[in-house]
Amino acid sequence: MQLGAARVLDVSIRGVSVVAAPELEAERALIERARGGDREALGGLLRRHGPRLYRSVLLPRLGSKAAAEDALSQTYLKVVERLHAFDWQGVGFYPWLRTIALHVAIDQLRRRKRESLFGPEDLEREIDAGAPERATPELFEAHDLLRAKKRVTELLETIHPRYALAIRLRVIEDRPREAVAAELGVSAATFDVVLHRAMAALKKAMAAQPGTGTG
Amino acid sequence: MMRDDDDTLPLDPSEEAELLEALNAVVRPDVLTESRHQRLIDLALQEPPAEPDEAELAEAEALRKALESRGEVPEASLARALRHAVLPASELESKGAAQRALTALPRSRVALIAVATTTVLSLAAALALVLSPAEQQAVPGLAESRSLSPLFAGAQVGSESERLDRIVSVRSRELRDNRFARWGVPR
Repeated sequence: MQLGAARVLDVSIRGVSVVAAPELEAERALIERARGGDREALGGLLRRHGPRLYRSVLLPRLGSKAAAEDALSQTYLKVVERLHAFDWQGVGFYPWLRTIALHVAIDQLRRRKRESLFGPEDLEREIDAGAPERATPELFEAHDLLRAKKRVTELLETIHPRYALAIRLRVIEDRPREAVAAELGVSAATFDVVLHRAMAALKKAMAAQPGTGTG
Repeated sequence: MMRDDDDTLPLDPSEEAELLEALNAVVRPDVLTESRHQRLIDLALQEPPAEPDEAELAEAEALRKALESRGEVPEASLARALRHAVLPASELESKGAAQRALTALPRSRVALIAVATTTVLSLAAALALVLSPAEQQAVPGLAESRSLSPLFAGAQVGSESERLDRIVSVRSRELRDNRFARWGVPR
């Protein structure tokens, strides 16, 4: 995993070399129109930022398409409900939207029973990490995706290396079952058992970490 | 084949599938289709529903009664079919038992319980209003400056720097929460 890159992003995202997007003022005008009741303007803002929010924040943290879509929908409802309270702080619309989405995701993780790699406390820590001064949505996206991948790396580091390898090759790299079995030096049928035990070990590792969303 | 210590918690197929989906969501996040996204936006932006007319109110009341096993309307059959499709039979049975117990209570007793509950809640709310400082009512939702000594009630744990870290952490969180509140982030 690209943890080095994550660190570089961490540095830049904390305000050292982040350049404001040139369309910031245009976005501000769009927000003002939306606050004035222009639904097409609000729709434009959501169309612009929603897909990024879904793929880099909600889906990786909630772990299922259905849950991520539900959270995105809830986020939009909250945006419509609370747009009048939005206060322009010179960083655009995305950081505000992302913060709302993280709160929605935290609520969903607290209620849910299904397995997930993140717990509510993980997302609270992400909010606590602070809002960057002038990060672009693109930088937020890269940062959020790297953070999610880092979480997977950390979890895999807590289980037996052979189990981690099985998960990495078969699940993460999506290599064929037979190829991974050969790499591990076992038959395909034996590999099925290894992978099953690897997943059980991963669940155990998650359960051992406070705040992780094991059901 | 290897196992690390007592590594395997019970992991049923559905849990395993969820874990696999969660891993995939991180390493290969899917894109949201444009049409699906537009649907979510349309749902959020749709105009608020119109006020119900008399006929609609009557139909709603009939549906409510049918769902409480007191009458029958076509929508109630559909609602029950949905319920049976989603909830396991055992859960439905326990819900049904609770519902039957509630409907078995005399109406006068239900009304009495409702009045008593409302009264107690009203008194509690009034008491809370009286006891709350005026400033807190003036700026709702914002954390206020206060002593952090309750954090260290009882035996002192950790070194001086750990205690300072704790104070900084609490103060930072409150500052961020206040910033979010002023920013208009809904909770």
